[in-house]
Amino acid sequence: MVEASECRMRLYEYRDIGGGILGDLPNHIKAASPQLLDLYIVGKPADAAGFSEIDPPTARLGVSTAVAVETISSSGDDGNAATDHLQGITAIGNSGADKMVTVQMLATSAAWTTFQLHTETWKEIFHCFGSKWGTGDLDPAGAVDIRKIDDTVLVELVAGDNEGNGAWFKVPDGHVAMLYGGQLRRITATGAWANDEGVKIRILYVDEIDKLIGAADSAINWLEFIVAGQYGNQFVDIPRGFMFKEKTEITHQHSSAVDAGEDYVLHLQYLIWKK
Amino acid sequence: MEKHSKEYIDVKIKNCKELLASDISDAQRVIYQGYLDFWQGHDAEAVAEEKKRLAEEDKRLAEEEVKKLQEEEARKKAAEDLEKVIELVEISPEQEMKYAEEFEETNENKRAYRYSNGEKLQTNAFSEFITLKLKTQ
Repeated sequence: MVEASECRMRLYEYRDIGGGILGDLPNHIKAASPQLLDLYIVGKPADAAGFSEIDPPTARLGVSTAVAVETISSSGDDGNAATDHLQGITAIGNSGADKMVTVQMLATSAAWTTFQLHTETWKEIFHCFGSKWGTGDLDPAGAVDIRKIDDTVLVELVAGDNEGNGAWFKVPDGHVAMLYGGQLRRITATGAWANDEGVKIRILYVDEIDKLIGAADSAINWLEFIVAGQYGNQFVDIPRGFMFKEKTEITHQHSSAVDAGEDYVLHLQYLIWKK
Repeated sequence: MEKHSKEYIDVKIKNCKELLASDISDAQRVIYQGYLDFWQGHDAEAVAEEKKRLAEEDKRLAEEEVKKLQEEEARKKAAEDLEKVIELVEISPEQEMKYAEEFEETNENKRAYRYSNGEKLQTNAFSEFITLKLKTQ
């Protein structure tokens, strides 16, 4: 089963990366203007279960020829009128030019209940979030989704929530990605120290060759991080430096083979640059 | 196939045509043409269903019309039958006298009888009054 979890994914362009990251980078990577993909995941498992994907997208696009997409809302109160609620949705994914991009898609009519066709072409869409609002309300009035022209919904916003689904990504063709650190943190509702079985997280990575052997056998590569909650450290620092090849698909998993109610926060950063 | 409204499919077809008319690669053209075929397939199905629905609606309306005509015919026939029955009904002189009194009481300016060549005849108004009485009994 898929456990309750929500991912906030953002893509920072090189000009927006600051702090210690720029100083740490070797010059040849700086010269490639790397991007930083930031994932902030909050998990609230409710039941004991094996490993399952954290906040999966509704469907993966997975095409080799980039295609345009449509957006639609279930409510006439979303649209481009000044008094509407949601006016724009932003997607993160791999563009037709094999580059990881953030693209805002705006409603072009007052009633977003009619399909809006957008000009950007995509090979993958990982995640979406609400990004422009009218005076009506600062979140979507209806369910808003991004879908293929054949009506396959890829990612979506539910009414009243600006953060959509999707916590996986694929390294664009011609690029590499590096795990650039992060933190896994066990949290409790009261902030009290936890004394339980802890939290297990996996970063699954499946490259092109792994995919050739079939879906069932391809999920064999992962990095695993565990916070054991025995009144000890409540967090684990995610190390830097693990590299991922072009076209590698990276998903995140959590296991609740532990007591229910063991909430966690997982913050991960990936640096992506063109080879 | 999932059911969609004609308007829904029309927008899909319009968007596919818009994409096909834009600057695209041959590979994209194949994909978008596939989408267009997909939605035109939906459209053909929607059109066929609409035709079927209209044919059924026409049939239903024709049947209703026939039924209405038959009911009208039946009603007319029943009325004619009633007229015939009324014509055949003979009322007693006492009953006719009562009707005549009632008629002249309710119609101050009208008479129940007229005389022609010494013969006592019902006026047309009184005759209609009696018919009405018999019908409403």
